[in-house]
This record gives sequence, C-alpha cells and structure tokens, in this order.
Amino acid sequence: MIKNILNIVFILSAFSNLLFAQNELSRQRDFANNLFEEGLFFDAVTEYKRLQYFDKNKIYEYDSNYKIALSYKRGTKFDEAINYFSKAVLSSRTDEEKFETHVQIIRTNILRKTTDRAFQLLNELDKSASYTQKKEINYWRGWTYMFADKWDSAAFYFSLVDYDHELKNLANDVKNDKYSVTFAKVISYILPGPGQFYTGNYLSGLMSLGWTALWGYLTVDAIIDERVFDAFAIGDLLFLRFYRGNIQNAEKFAVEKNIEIANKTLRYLQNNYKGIKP
Amino acid sequence: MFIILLSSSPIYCQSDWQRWGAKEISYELPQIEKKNYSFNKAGFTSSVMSTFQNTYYFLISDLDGDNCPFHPTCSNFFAESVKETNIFQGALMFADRFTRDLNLFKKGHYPLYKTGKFYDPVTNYKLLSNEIKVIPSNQIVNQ
Amino acid sequence: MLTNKHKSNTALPNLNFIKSAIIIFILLTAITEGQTTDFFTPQNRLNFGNHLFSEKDYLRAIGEFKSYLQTTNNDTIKFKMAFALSEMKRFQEAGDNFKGLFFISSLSEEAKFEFLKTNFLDEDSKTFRDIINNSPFLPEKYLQNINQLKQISLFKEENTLPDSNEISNLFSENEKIELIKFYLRKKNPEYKSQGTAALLSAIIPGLGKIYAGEIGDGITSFLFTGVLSFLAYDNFKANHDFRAWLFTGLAAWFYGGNIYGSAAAAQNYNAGIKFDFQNDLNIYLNSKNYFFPEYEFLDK
Repeated sequence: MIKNILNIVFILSAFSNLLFAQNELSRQRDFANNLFEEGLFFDAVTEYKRLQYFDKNKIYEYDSNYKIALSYKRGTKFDEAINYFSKAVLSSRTDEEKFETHVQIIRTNILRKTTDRAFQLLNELDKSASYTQKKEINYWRGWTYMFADKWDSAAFYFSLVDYDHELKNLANDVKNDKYSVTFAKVISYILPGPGQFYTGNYLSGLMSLGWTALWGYLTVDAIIDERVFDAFAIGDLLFLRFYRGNIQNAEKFAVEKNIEIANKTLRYLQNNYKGIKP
Repeated sequence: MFIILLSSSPIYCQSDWQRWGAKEISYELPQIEKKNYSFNKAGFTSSVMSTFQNTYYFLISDLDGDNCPFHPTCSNFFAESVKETNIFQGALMFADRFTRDLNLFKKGHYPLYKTGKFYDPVTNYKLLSNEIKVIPSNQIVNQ
Repeated sequence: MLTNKHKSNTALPNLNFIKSAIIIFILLTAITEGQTTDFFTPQNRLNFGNHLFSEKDYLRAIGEFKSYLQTTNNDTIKFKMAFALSEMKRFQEAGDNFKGLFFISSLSEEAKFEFLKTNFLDEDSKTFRDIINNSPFLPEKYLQNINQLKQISLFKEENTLPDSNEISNLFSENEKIELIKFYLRKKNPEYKSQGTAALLSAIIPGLGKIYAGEIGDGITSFLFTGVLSFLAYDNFKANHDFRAWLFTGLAAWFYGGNIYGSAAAAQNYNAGIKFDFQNDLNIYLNSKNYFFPEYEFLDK
C-alpha cells in the first residue's frame, strides 16, 4: 500500500519535473516579452538572447529572433534589426511568418532611408505574393515612394490599395503643391528674374534682373565701341556670371520650397497619421 | 549571402557596447544648408568686417551663383584667413587660393566635402605645421 | 487466502519491474533537465556570459559575470571581465580590474601584461614607457611582448626613433625586415624645405610649387603671374597708366602669393609624408594585432 503511494508520488514528481523544464522556457519568453512591452529594449534583447541560448530545441528561435529585431528597430539600430529579421526569416515556420518578416525588413529599409534596397525587396516579394499580400506590398511601395520624394508614384500605388485612400489624397496634394523646377529653370534662361518671382523670391529676382541688365548694357556698349577685350572681360566675368547665378538660384529656390512642402507632409505622417507606419 | 549575414553578427555587437534606449528618427528629407548672416559684435574691426561680409553676400554672392569648386568658398576663405591671421597674410593666402582655383587639373588632390566641393580649409595654409590636417583625397569630409 | 496472496505475489513482480524501470528512466531525465531549468543560477549565468563573451557582446557578458562573481570567486572570469572592458576601450576601468589580479592569482603574469597593454592602447606612449621603466610589476612570461610594445611606441611617437638592435633581437625574420623598412622611413623622411620652395618661387614663379610636388599648381602660378606681368607691360607701352599700375599691383600681389603658397605647399607635403608613414605603420601593426599574445582560456 505504502509502496504504491510512493510509486505514484515518484511518477508525479518525475512528470512535473519534465513539465517544469518546458515551463521555464516559456516563463523566460514571457519575462522578455514584458521587458519589451515596458520599452526596456536593451534588457529585452539580453533576455531574448538568454532564451535563445538555453532553448536547445530551438522552439522559440523564430519568436526570439523576431523580437530582438523589433527591439533593435525601436532603438533605431537598423543594421542590427535587419540582420536579426533575416535570421528570423530563416527560422520561420509558416508562410505567414516569412511574409511578415520580409515586410518588416522592407519597413526597416524605409526608415533607414535606403529606399533603393526597399524597392528591390518589394519587387522580389511581389513575385510570390497572394492577392491580399500584394495589397500590403503596394501599401509599402507607396510609403517607399514617399520617402524617396516621388509623390506621384506614391499616390498611384496607394490608389491600388484603396481608390480613395487617405495617403493617396495626401500624396496627390503634395504633387500638386510642388513647384516645377524645370519651369523655373526655363523661364530663367529666357529672362533673368521671373524664375525667382515664380517661387516668391521677389527681391532676389529683382536684384538678378538689375545686375544682368547692368552688365548686359555695359557689354553691348563695349562691343559697339569695339573695345573687344573689355567686352570679353565684362561679358564673361560679370554678365554671364550673374546670368548663370540667376538660373542656379531659380532652381535652388524651387528645390528648397519643394523640400519644405514634402517635409510638412512627412512631419504630419510622423506625428499625426493614425494608420500603420514603417 | 545568409551565411555571410549570420557570421557577421559579432561586428554588429559593437553597437551594444553602450546601453541604448528607444529613439525615433525623423521622416524628413535633408534640408539644403543655408548661408549664415552672422554678425560679429566682438569689437569694432570684427563688426566692420562682418558688415562688409554680409553686404557682399547680400548684393553679390547670393546672386552670382555657385562658382567656387572649393568648400570654404574663396570669399569665405579670405574672410576666415584674415580673421585667423592678419590682413597681409590673409591677402597672400587668398592670392594663393585664387591661383589654385585656376588650376584645371585639381581633381584628385583634395578630399571632397559632403556637398561635393573640394575641401580646402584655412588651417592648412597658415604656415603652422601642427595645425595641418591631412585627409586622403578619396575621403569625404562631413562636418 | 494463502492461495490468493500467492497468486498476487507472482503477478506483481512483472508489473513492479516495469513500473520501477519507467520511474527510474523518468527520474533520470528529470534530474538532468532539472539541472538547467533555472536560468539565473550562478552557473547558468556564467555559461550564458561565456557565450556572450565569445560573440563579443561585452557589455552584456560583463553583467552576467558580475552576478556570477557575487557568489563565486574565479580568477579567469575576473580576467575575462577586465579583458572585455579593455576591448570596449574603457581602459581606466580595465586597468583597475587587472590590478586586482596582480597577486595571489594564477593569471597574475597575464594580468600584469594586460595592464601594461591598456596603458599602451590609451595612446600615451611616454607614460607607457615610464611605467615600464619604473614598474616593479613586469611579467616575466611576457617580457618579450613588453619590449616589442616599447619599440612600437617609439615608432608611433613623433620625435622618437626605436632601437634598431632591439628590433633585430625581438622580432622574427619577416617582421624584422618590415620593421627595419619603417625604421629607415622614419629616420630619413625626405622632407622638402620651406625655405628652398620659397626661394625657387621667388626666382621663377611656380618653381617652388613644382619642387613641393604640386606640378599643376606650379604651372598655373607661372602662367598667371606671367599673363599679369605681360598685361602690365603691354599697358605701360600703350600708355594706359591706370590699367598698367593696376596690373602691376595684381602681378606683385600674386607673385607674393605664389612665394607664400610654395612654402605652404612644402609644409603640406611634409605633413603628407608623416601621415602616410603613420597610416602604413598602423595598417601593418593591425595586421599583426600588435604582436599581442593570444590566450587559450579566453575561448572557453
């Protein structure tokens, strides 16, 4: 009788020891997850690494790699984040996990402003994507184009996600608000000054007009008086200099204004946009 | 490629040699550097010089475009060299800089500044050997 | 009743045997699993710390080692902690930690060497040599490495020269050849003289610059001062006095500038020689890892 009871006690304790080993790993995972939720990312990485070290059967390999990568991403350490996301891809168990990790790599590339790489990865991912996955890919394509300052392409891809997408309208607004750099340059070639008026730099335009008029008049005057050397000197060193300067300025002002327009929207996206951000 | 990625993890650990926390990077595009019209009130000569400099920028520099292939532009170079030495040495330094500007084959002799111009600071020409900073010509200077 | 007991007695041994076998098996696996279940025991923290150390994740490794050392005294781990600090370039702290291992430790020779190494890496060569010369803590086992570092520090500092005899004694054949080359480069740097450059440019504008290695600048200087002088002469001949004096003034200014610039060019040339020497020396020393000894126990 006593022997039977002792047997049962031994068996139960043996089983509970086995289960205990299993529970310790999941407890460690929960501990690390808590640190991640609290925002203590450096310590979260330490605990996920500890989990990985003791997880001999690699049960939590995907989860730990993924979470370590997310922690690095939140700490803006994008190279390390991409490294761990790539490890997570290798240890992913389902197609869903693989796709989501690839998307995270793309999002990290967007934040890192390496948009060429992001485009490359998006194209590769597109080849084997399902219909709903393609929608997500187009959403992130739109974001990549926004970060690459190509707002018309961004608007196009957002329209593929949803005909009346908020971001499509935003991108279209930026495209319409922007100044045409080519237009500014062309009218500057024709007449010094109006290129700067176009972007609202009236004083600079007037001064350009004044200087080029002055030196132009003196050059023509020298040519009429057959003072060749003088005409050459004034024409090249003064007139052409200010004429070229006017074209450069028109282009520069247009580009500056365009950057400010784009940045206004990018600031809105960073601080006020409620949708999914990279 | 993945093998290379995996084996390069020790290199990344260097960023973890100091504790770091959550941060946010800005979405904004980088802005073009603007000229600073700083006004130096630290004495009569500096005020006079600053006025001349700002007037020059306003009336001429701002309008005749980007003509200097060097980073401290020739006018900036002149102003800085006079500030750091004296008017006579500054004048000689400017003459030397102007002549170097005329050299059509200067590519490969100077390192590049982040804006793409040749980096040619005043400190290398003050005849003070301990202030000379050698930068290899294939490097890009960022500050 | 006797027969019932007898019957149950014969059936039981088989069942009992199977049960015991299962229990022993499960207990064995449970015991071995149980040893690794708590990840925060000192031994587990040590194992994890060693793993982090091997991955060069030094800050985290130090954290694990610290908590292990709270319960157990272990010289190798103290050494590893100090070594990690040194790798992270926290030289002061590393030095202090190494000092703690100077006495009553199996690694005292290694600790003494690493302490001197942190002084070397902390970039103050003169202090490093003073410490060696005055130190009662020289490790016998690593005297050759110390003397090698002493010669290297003489290479790296600006106005000192290493001892060529010592180089022959301390380094292997191939290393000796390379280091003697550096020695000769440092001994005879082939500088250009500022005075010569200025004088040459005073005689022929631009010649001093060519002497200082700036051929394009020299030719430009020559042509430009030539053109200005010609314009001055031409305008004097044509009696355009104002312009003539203007061009004379410009020519004089640029002539002075060219002399000044030649002296500056010679200076820059010399700075370039110094820079190339230091750069090549650093590349060579890094490829040899400064001839530092490697410790086997660090890889465990």
